[in-house]
Amino acid sequence: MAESLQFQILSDLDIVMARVEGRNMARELGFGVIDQARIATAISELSRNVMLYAGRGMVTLRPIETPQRRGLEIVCADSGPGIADVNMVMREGYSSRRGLGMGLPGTRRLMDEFEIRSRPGEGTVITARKWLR
Amino acid sequence: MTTEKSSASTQELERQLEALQRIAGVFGAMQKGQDIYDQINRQVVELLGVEKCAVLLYDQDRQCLVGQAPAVGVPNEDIRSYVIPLAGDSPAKQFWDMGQSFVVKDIDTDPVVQALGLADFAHKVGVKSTMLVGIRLEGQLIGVIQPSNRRDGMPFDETDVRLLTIYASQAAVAIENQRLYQAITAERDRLARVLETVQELSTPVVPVLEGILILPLIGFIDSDRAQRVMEGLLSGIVQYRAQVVILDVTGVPVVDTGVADHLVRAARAAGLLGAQPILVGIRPEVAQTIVGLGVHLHEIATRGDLRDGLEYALAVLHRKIVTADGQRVGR
Amino acid sequence: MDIYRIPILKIEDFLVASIQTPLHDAAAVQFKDDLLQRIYETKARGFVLDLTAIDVVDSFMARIVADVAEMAGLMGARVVVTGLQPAVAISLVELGVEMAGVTTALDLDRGIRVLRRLVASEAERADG
Repeated sequence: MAESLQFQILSDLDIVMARVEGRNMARELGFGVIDQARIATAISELSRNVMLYAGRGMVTLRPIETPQRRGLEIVCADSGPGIADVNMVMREGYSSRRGLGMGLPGTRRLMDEFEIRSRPGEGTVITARKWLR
Repeated sequence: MTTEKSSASTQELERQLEALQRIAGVFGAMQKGQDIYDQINRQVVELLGVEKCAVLLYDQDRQCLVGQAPAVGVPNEDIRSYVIPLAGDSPAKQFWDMGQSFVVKDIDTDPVVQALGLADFAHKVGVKSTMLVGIRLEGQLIGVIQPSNRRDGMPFDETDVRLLTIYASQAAVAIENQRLYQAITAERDRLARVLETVQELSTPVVPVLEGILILPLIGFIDSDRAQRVMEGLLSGIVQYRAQVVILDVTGVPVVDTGVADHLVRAARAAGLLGAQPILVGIRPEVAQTIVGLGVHLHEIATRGDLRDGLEYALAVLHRKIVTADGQRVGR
Repeated sequence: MDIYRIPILKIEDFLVASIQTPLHDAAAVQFKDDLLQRIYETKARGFVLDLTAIDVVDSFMARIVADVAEMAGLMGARVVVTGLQPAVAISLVELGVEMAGVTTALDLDRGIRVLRRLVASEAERADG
């Protein structure tokens, strides 16, 4: 079973690498093609946000396990400007750049669990998990 | 042999206590899920200081005891072929019926071993002395534990029998637990497979005519089911190369925001695969709910019932087909 | 730096491109530029963009596709996107990314038929 993987996000090439490896990890864990696509898309969205808003950051992918089930966890961390109003960015329809926004409500829909820890000036950590059904 | 009663009984109690403590220690190490016979055999080997040990279980249909793999000190194929008949005229039957344990001091001279014809087998697997102690579960004998060849070369004695009898009563519970555990796991897996099949069946797509797919939805739709519906719908579109899909919600009693959202997403996903979605069968109460909730389905075509939906679907297809050929039919 | 360029083919009077590799942002932008340039050079009336081999489409990629469709439209070419995998379609609608205004079809064959219909109906409208 794959161990945890880390990717420094500096450019769009890193985004592609992170989501390709993320998809592989999801497949190895036993996720079906549709969940593989969801996970890869979520990784792409989250790491793109890091690149757009913080310039650089770290994406960590790891298999997770409880006695009842297995899954995959994405942790996206940066030391960027942070999010002033988390509730606002999580509201449907919020958009900043050219109507793209951060896409966070949509990304949350792709995953089963979703947490944001962020403060202005203190960077952002987003954790998302998907479990095998 | 003379003994002083009081000190003898004290000694006896001490022996029993020590025996119980040894058994408890050995038994505490038993692990769930791991092969139960393997664990029992290893524990008896340690407990009694013997070279070999095997468990035999009673087979009611064949009326005999059958060796269980894995044993300690006996290869798997040999232990599986080890059978002690217990039917009417078997020399072993009386011991089984009375539930008596049985000690064999010497394989070559023991009359029962000879009568059962097991001397050759014993030689083959290297057994010189052995004993059989019953495993009793809720008063019923379910099998025997058979250790062989004490390491010190001595024959099995009363202490061995007593020790093993106490151990066997614990082992009986462990064997039963293991059986229950396996039965429960097997049943749970079976139910999971049945559930999967039911869920697959409850989202069927019906191809009608060239390029039209109908998805009849029946019953309550929760988040899980909505996922399955969407997946079934999209693979149906690919499989049948549908150009129009009719989502029939006549049979769905409750459409709340959650369900409405899922339906809208399913319709949009169908659109991304080049199939035009048509929603039919929204009942008055449901229509009120949807509008009341502020959900807008305006980008999805809707029709009253399946028949209307089919007519519309044909019109859409007809238009598409005709125009692709370059001809035109008046609308 | 030599960015891998996506080959754009001509079939009848339409252009066809099939994306085969994971597309990073710079390659996607390059592709958009190449495509619009080819449309301009060939005066193509239609373009089929085949995404059969793409297993992830995120918001950036969806925006590129929508932009391409709009820009090509301004230059007189209709765009049809084909071959979206079910898994990708589901992720897109869940993400909430709309490729509004983008015509889609199941595969290349259908895509060309749809293009013919679109182009023909435009011509008819022009004729009155």
